[in-house]
Amino acid sequence: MENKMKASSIDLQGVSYAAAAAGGTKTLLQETDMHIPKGQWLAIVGANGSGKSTLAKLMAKLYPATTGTVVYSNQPGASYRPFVQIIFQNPDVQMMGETVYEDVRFGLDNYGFPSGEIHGLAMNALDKVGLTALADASPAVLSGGQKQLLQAAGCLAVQPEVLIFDEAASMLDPMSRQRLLQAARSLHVEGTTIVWITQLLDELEASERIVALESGAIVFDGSRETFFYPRSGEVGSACERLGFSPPYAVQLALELMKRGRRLHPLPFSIEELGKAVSAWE
Amino acid sequence: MNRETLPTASAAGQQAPADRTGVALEDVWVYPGDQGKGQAAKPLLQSIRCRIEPNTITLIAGTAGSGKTTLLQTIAGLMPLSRGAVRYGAHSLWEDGNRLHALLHRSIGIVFQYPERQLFADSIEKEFRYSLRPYRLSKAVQAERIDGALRQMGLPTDILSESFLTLSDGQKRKVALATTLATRPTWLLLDEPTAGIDPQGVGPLLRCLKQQKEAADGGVIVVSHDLDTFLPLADRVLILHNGALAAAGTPQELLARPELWLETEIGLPSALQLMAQLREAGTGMGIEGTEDVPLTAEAMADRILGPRERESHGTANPKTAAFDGVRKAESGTGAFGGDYAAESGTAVPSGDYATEHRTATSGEEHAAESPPEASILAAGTSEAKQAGAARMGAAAQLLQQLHPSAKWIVYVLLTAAILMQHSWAGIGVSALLTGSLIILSGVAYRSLLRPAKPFLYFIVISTVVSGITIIFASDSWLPERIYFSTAPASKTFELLVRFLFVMLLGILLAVTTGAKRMQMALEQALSFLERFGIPVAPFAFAATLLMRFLPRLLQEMDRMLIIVQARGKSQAKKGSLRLREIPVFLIPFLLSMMKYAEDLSLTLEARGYQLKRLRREGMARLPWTRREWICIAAGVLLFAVLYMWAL
Repeated sequence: MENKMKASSIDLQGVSYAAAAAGGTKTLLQETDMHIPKGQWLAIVGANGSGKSTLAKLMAKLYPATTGTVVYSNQPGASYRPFVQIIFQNPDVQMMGETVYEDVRFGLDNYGFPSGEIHGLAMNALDKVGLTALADASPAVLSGGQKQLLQAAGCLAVQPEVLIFDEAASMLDPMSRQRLLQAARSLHVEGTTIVWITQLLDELEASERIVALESGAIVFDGSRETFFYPRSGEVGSACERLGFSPPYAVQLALELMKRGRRLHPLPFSIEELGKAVSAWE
Repeated sequence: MNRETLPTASAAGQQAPADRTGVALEDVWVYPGDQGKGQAAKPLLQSIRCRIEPNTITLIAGTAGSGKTTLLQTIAGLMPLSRGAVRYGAHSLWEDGNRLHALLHRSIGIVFQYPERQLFADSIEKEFRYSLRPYRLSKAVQAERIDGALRQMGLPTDILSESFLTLSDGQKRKVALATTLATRPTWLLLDEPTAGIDPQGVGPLLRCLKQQKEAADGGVIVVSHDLDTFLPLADRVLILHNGALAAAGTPQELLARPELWLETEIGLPSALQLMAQLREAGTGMGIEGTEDVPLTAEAMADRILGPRERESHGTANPKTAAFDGVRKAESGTGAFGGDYAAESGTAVPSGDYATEHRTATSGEEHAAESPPEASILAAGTSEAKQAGAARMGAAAQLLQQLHPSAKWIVYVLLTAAILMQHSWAGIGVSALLTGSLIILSGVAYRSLLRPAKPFLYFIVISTVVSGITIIFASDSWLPERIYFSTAPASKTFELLVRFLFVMLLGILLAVTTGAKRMQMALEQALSFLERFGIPVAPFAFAATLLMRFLPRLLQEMDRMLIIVQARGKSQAKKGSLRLREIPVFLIPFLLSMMKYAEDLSLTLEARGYQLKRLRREGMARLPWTRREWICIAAGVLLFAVLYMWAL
C-alpha cells in the first residue's frame, strides 16, 4: 500500500490439485506456476470444470495443494490480519450474523481484532459498500446483490492483502454486478490485490491481467489487449480462439475495426468505446 | 405430445373466443403459499394481464425478486393461481376443481435454472425415459424422439449409456435441455438459460430457441437478465417490477423508454447505454426520432459508420430529452459509497418524457424498493396496527428480549404443571394459559400451526378411534353393533391434549428466540464446562447452524418438488410424491444439500472461524436483570397454583 513496488503478493510454485473421483483420482489443476504482483487486478476465466474455482481455493489455502506450495509474501502490520479473504458464489450460504452489522463483525471477532477497534472497523466497512442504513436489518431482507456487498464488507473489514471473488457476481443481475465491481474497484485503488474469477467476460473491464484455464491448465496469460484483440497478422483474438464470446463493447469494436476504423485506446467497456468513437472527429 | 392432438378451438363452454391462439394471462394474482411468516403476505404476482402470441420469442426481464421466475412457473401451471386465469388458445390451463388441463400441461416444456442439477437416473437414457413417460409413446417413437433431441443439442448417441455423474456441467446442461426437447413441447419455457452456461454452449442454445419458435401454435418464453443475448432475439419483452407488469412491448418500443430500465433497476442494455453516451458526446451518432436502436454489433457498426449528416437537430425531441435524463441518473447510480437506499432514489430520471411514461410504481414504492422489507423494519409495523396493539406489543417485546435461559426455566415449570393436570378444569386452565401466552407473544398463528398440525390430526384421529366401540355377535366375526362412546374418547383427548399445550409452548419458545440469542444463552449456560477444557462455543455455534440449515432444507425441498411435478406432469397436489418419483426428488436434493454443507464449511473456514476461538470479546453477554427474576418468580407461582389445583 505504501509503495507500489512490484513485490509479489501470492506465488504458486508448481501447485497442482487432485481429488478423489470414481475410479481413482482426478487432476483438477495441473502443475501451475504463477506469480501475482502486489496490487494487481487479476482475472481468471474458464468454462465450468476448467479448474478456476479450484485455483481460487488453493490461493486461499482452503484446499491443500497436492504438489507444490502456495507462498504468501510477508505482510507488515498486525498479525491478526488475514492475508487472503474470499467471497463465494452463493450469497445465501455465506450469511453468518443475525443482523447486517453482526455479519460484518463475524470475521473481526474470529480473527481476534482488538475489541476497541471492532465497532469502528465494521461501521467503516459498511459505509464503504453503502449498507450503513441497513446495519440493524436482518440479512434475510437483503437482495442478492446487497448480500454480496455485505460479504465484501465483511472481507474488507479485516483488511486482507488479497481479495478473491470466486464467481461472486454470477448470481446477480447486471446492476448489482456493477455495484459489486465498483466496490472491488475502490478497494483496488486503495492497494488491495484483486483476484476476480468468472466465466462472464463482461466482468473483465477492470482487469489488468487475464489468465484463462482449460481442463486444469493455463492456456492464456496476458493483458486485456492481447486477450480480446488479435495481434497484427493474426486471425481472431485469443478470446475467440478459446471459444469465448467477447462482451458487447469488444464485439462492436472488432466489427468497427474490421471495417477499417481505428480505435484508440482499445476499448473494453461501453464507456471507453463511446469515448473512442467520439474522438474520431 | 403430438401437435395434431392439441386442443382445438372448437371446444364449447369456454369464455375466450374460439379463434384465439397463444397464451393469455387474465388478471393473474399469486400469493405465497404457507411458507410466509404470518402478517398480510405480499402477492408474488399482482394483476398480470398480457397476451403471448404464438411463434414468438418472449423475454421476461426484471431484477431478482421481481417475480419473473414465479411468472414463468405460473404460465407452466406449477403455481396455483390465487385469482385470474391462464389460457392457452381457447382453453383454461386450470380446469374446475383446480386440476390442470392434462393435454395442455403436457404441451408445456419448462427448463429450470441450473438444469444440470436436476439429473438423477443412473443412465442418461433413463433420464429421457422418465421425462417421456407421461406421454405414453411406443418404444420406437421414444427412440426417435431421444435421437432427435440429442442431435438438436449436438450430443453423441453413446452418451445414453453414461451416468450423469461422469459428465461435465456443460454436457449435463445440454442433456437436461434435451430431455425437455424430447417431449416436443409446443411451448418451451426457460429460466435463466445462460446463467452459468459454458461460453461454448450459448450458440446451440440460441439455435434451439429459433427452431422452437417455429413450432405450430407454440413459442418460446425466456426469463433472463442477459439482455444483450436475448434482446436481439426477442419479439416481445415483458418487464416485471415488484410482482407487477411494468411494461410490455417489442424490444424497440421498450428501448425507446430508457427510464423504464432504470426505474425498474434492471439497468440499460449495452446498446442503449452506448447510444446514450454517443448522444451525450454530441457526435450526432445517437438515435433520433423514431429510429430503431441497433441491437447486434453488426447493426450497430452500420449505424455508427452510416451517414453522418444526420446531425442532431430539434432539441425538443422527446427521445433525446429522455436520454439526457438517463445519463444523469446513471452517474447517480454509479456513485459508490453513498447510501444504498438513497442511491436507488436517484435512479429516477428527470425529463418530461420520463415522468410521462412512469409506470404503475409510485415514487414512494420505488424509494423503498431496494430492500423491500428493510423499510418495513425501520418503520415498524403499520400505523393502524401500532395504535391498537401498543400494549400487546410490549408483552411481545418482553418475550423476545427475555434471557433465553429465563424463558427456558419458565417453560419447564409450566410444562411440568400442565402435565400434572388430570381434571377438566385443570386442562381448561392450561388451555387458557397457553392461549394467553400465544396471544401476548404476538406470534403469527400460522408459524405455530404449521409444526403443530400433524399432532393435531393425531389427536383427532386417536380420539375418534378410541371412541369407536364394536360389539361382535357371540358366535360370528361380523360386528353386531358399532357405536361411538364418549367416555374413552374424552379420556384419550384429555391425555393427549396436554401434550399439545406443551408442544405449543415449546414452539413458542423457539419462535420468540432468535438463533443468535439461543447460541449466546447456550454458551453462557454451559460456560462452566470450559473450565474442564470442553469447548462449548463450537457446540453452541453448531446448534445455531443446524437451525439455519432447516429452513434451507425446506426451501430446497420446495424447489425440487416443483421440478419433479414439472417433469412427471403429475396432477398430484403440490408437495406430494408418487413412489417412482422419490429418486427423482431425493438424488438431486441430497446432492444439493451436500453442496450446501460443503459451501458452508468452506465459508466458515474462509471467514476465520476456528474450533478454538482466540477470543470472543465481541459477543456481549446477554443481560440478566430483575425482569428475568420476576418472570421466573411468576413461573414458580403459576407452577405452585397449578400444582395445588392438580392435587
